[in-house]
Amino acid sequence: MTRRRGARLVGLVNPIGLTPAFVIPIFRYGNSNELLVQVIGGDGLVKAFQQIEIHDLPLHEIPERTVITSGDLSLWAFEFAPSDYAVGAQAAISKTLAGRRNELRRHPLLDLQVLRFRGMRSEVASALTLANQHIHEMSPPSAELWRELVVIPPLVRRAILHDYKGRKGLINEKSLQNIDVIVRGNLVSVVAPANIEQVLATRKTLPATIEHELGGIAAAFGLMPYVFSGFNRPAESRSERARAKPDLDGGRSEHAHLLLRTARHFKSRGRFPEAIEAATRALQIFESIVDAEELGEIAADTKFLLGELAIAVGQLSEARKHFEDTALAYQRLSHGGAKVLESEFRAAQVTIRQGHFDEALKTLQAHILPHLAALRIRPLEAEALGEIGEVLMAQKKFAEALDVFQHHQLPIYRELKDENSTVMTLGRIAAALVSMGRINDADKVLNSKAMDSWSSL
Amino acid sequence: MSNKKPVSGLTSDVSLPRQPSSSFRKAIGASEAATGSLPLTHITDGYRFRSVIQTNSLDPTYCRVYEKPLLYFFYGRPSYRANQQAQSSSIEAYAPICFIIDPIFDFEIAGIYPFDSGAFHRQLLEGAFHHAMIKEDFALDTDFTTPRRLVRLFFGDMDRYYMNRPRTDVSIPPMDYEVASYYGLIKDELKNDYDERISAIEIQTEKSMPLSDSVLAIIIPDNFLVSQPVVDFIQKLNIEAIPYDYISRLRPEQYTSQIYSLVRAYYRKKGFL
Repeated sequence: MTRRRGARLVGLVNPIGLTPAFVIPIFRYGNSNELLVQVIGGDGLVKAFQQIEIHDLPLHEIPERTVITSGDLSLWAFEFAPSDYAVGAQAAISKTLAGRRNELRRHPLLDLQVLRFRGMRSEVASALTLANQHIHEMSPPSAELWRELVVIPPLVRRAILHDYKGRKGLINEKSLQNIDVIVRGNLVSVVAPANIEQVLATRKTLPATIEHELGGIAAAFGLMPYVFSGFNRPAESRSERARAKPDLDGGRSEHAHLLLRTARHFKSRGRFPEAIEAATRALQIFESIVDAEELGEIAADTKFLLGELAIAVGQLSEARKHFEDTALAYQRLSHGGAKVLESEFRAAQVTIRQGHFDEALKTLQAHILPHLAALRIRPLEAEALGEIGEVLMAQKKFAEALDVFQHHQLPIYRELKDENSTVMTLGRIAAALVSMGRINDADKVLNSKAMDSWSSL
Repeated sequence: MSNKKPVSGLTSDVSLPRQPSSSFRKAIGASEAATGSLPLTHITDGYRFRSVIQTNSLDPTYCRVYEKPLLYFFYGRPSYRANQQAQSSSIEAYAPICFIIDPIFDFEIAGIYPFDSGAFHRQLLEGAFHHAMIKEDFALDTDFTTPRRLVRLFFGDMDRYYMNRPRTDVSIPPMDYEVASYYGLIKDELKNDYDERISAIEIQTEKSMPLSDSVLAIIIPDNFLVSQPVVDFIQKLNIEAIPYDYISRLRPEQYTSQIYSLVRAYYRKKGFL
């Protein structure tokens, strides 16, 4: 059995020359002149000792002559002021630092370090806020870089590691460095190489894990409290991308796509104001990028989404304008016919909600419906017929409404074998019959076999 | 960017054992230049940084290898200069301060080498080269396009250079022994004492570099930002300071990659990569 060789603590070196600060314990083997530092493993234990050159930095010799060997708890040291230091295991230093925290509060970045060292995660968010303010006062661009390059990426990477913990495979401390975490504005995105992306894409819990990891820190930095859960294609080099496809926009379209996906995510969660903010910014970027038809289409899609969101928050005028703009945008594309009609239809729906029945009816009957029928866009045609019927009902033109529901809309849903919509249309037919005083007929409709599926809706 | 300076790139005034070979220099000179440019990096430590903020310049220091004062940079990569001995760590590795120099800043280059020439001089790379080769065989034209040509020839593009991923399809003419040796060195994936400095392009100058016009950003231990002289320095020069987590760096498993990752992220954010 080999006896482990002990190294004796001989002093401290302060590589930054400022106090208060964490400093480095320096060791020696026996009477050797070689100076050593600990190599500390992830478990906090000493793995080995490594020779160190301190050049012209002063070695502050100390009376403690602790001897440790590999496998022992590592030693840490903190210098509050010259000749005012603490040295010991992490737990002991943490205790000392906790007792003297007031001395560190005027140094926000140091206070942050100390909290992390002590494992006080619950207090880190507020400390980050103060540190951010401190850097911002010195240099606003520096604060932004600190947030985007230093603080956020390790948190996201740690979340990925935690989420993947216990599963053997590609993701480990080393491969995490191949995952890019990009913070732009108040959005966070993750870009992983293809092989890792395939693994991450299966982790349904990952977005929530990242969101949890960022927690109050997101708020401290003004980040959207949501992290993009998609994973882009591998981060090829700029020149590889350039060969594959000219890089016309310096990455702005990628950013805009990210914003658009984020907007859709917010919409799906019913968080409409945030969705509107993200979609509006995406649209601004898309519209600033010229000469790309595919971006023209995605810009139009974004306008359409903004129309839907405006409806959701009751901004009908804005919604109508968005849909009308969308229709014009699709018209400029070579393949936008169906989308033009859908946008015009949505604009007409908004017109109905605004109470402009005649205007809406005219547009629907004279323009939209014939084109939908000609292009055989059956679901939208049926939906348009439903809107026409509802307008006629509102105008108390019950017989005409009944005709639309019964002889035009219902056959389409039956043709499409769309049971739910069929039942809804039968309900509309019954309502029209009731309005016309034909109670028995309405009763027959409501008790028809087709309505049996009502109970399952 | 500077005009082409078709000088030999030899920086040493000391007598050489023989006339250097021009094979490697010609191979680089004949290559196309890679697209884009990377900033230069200069690394110092906290101790020396205090004099930098007093002079507002990076100044040459006496170099025992070349026997004259020189100021060193690496092209793109934040490679450490001080850690010359493979078996030893350096205190600089704990709290490095990395200056990122604007690639359009013009200055007088004294020498360019395709690797850490100090490591070559100390025979740390001897396994890859013929014993008769001298570092001057690898001295390159002191022109700002030289690093881009080298990157194109051996790496293909800037991203691969930064990540130290050499091309695998470089065709080397017979008798170009220096080129073949260098290519063999940078492709060596076997366990050895080398680090990425075997392919980090070294740039030397004999002149001081004023920081006011040259520095894009500085990567600095966050502890430094409590120091008023440092804050004044950053504000005065109007440079971007990226404070990194100093306590994490005290954990040895962290410090090898932290600055590298930060600089790469900075380059990507600013469009250099």
